[in-house]
Amino acid sequence: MDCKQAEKLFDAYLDGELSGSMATELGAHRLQCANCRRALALLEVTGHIISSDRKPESLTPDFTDRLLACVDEQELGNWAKWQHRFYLGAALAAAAVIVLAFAGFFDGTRVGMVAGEKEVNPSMTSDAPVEAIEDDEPIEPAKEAALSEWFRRTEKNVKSKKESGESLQRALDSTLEQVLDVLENEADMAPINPDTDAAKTPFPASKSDGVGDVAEEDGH
Amino acid sequence: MATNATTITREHERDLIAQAKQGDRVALRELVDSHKERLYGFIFRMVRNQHDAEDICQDAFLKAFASLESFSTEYRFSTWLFTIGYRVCLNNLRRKKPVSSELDFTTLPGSDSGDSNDILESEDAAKAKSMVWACVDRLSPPQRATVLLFYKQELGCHEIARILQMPPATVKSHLHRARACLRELLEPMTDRAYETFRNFAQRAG
Ligand SMILES: [Zn+2]
Repeated sequence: MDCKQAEKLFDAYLDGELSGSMATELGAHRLQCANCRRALALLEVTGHIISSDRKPESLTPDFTDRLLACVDEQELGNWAKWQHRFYLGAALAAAAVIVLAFAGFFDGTRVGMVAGEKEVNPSMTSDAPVEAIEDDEPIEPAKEAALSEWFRRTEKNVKSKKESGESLQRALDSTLEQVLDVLENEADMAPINPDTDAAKTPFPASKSDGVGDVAEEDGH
Repeated sequence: MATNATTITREHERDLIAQAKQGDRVALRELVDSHKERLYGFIFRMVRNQHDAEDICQDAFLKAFASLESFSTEYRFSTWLFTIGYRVCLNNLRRKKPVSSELDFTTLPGSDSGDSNDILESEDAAKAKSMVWACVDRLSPPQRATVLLFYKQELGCHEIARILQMPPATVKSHLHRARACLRELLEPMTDRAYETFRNFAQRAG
């Protein structure tokens, strides 16, 4: 084996992939060739230094705390970003509640639940519902202003309920009632009977669906 | 493995991910604590700046958590985290000037500050290390990443390929070209410098 042949085997040898007989041949050449010995030693020591040198790698001690604080902030940020989208979606869901209730098809659970899931899951993982809302038609400016106001109240309401440890579900129940009020006052909307079950309890109070559980966990 | 990270079993990791998806802060904390030193080690060697490295590290975790839904537990969390970390490193490096190609071993410091946990605490060892890291800094980002993941994180070509999002054959070629570069950079060392290196090698066994 000459130096040229030997050099071709360096990488396989250093990758730990050189088979028995070839490794033996390279070893023999290495013993008798100062150049190849030096080159291989250089590469071996280099690899050894890279793998063993564990110097200046320490994060500041409060790294994890700061990171988790950022996670919290990010969730609030996402919440703010998506709440704009959400109220359009909530309004449309509410409109659907009204329309369906008016038509006599609605059993008081399904449409409300969709909106509820969006609301209690405002975290980093809520891309899907946001996308689902994107195609919805824009709401008129006057209605949008009313809904903006409603949403400010909603957020305040939800936050305070969260802090007081009350179920987020209940907060949502009451805020959806508010959006129904807003929509009810719009002349172009179908009139709604305030005694209709759908208007009073757009969400079922039961927790068996797991939505309430998520809300409670969120409040930790 | 050149890390003091807590090792967690695959099963436990799956549980943690499931809990983290629900926003469980205890699970998030454990995921961070068990991966942060390794990730930081990699990122620091990529960008060579403590402040940037810590920012990138944080960014990588936040991005990983923000897209936890799309993470498949078929892979290790660390693979995915390093994939994100590498991409953030590349963005950071693009905004910076590349290091000068000139390399003067005579001006290298004996050691980076804070070196304490090594038995080879000689001047030779420190000098040899400085030389090597100065050369590693001069590799292209994919070459540097490959070298770090192969030697420092002790990962196989297939896992490196997943992290760097390139075929395993490309990983091999980066690794081999990186070795050729390191050799080219280190070989013109003076005999005195080479003695330093040999002494280090002998002590290192
Ligand atoms: Zn030779």
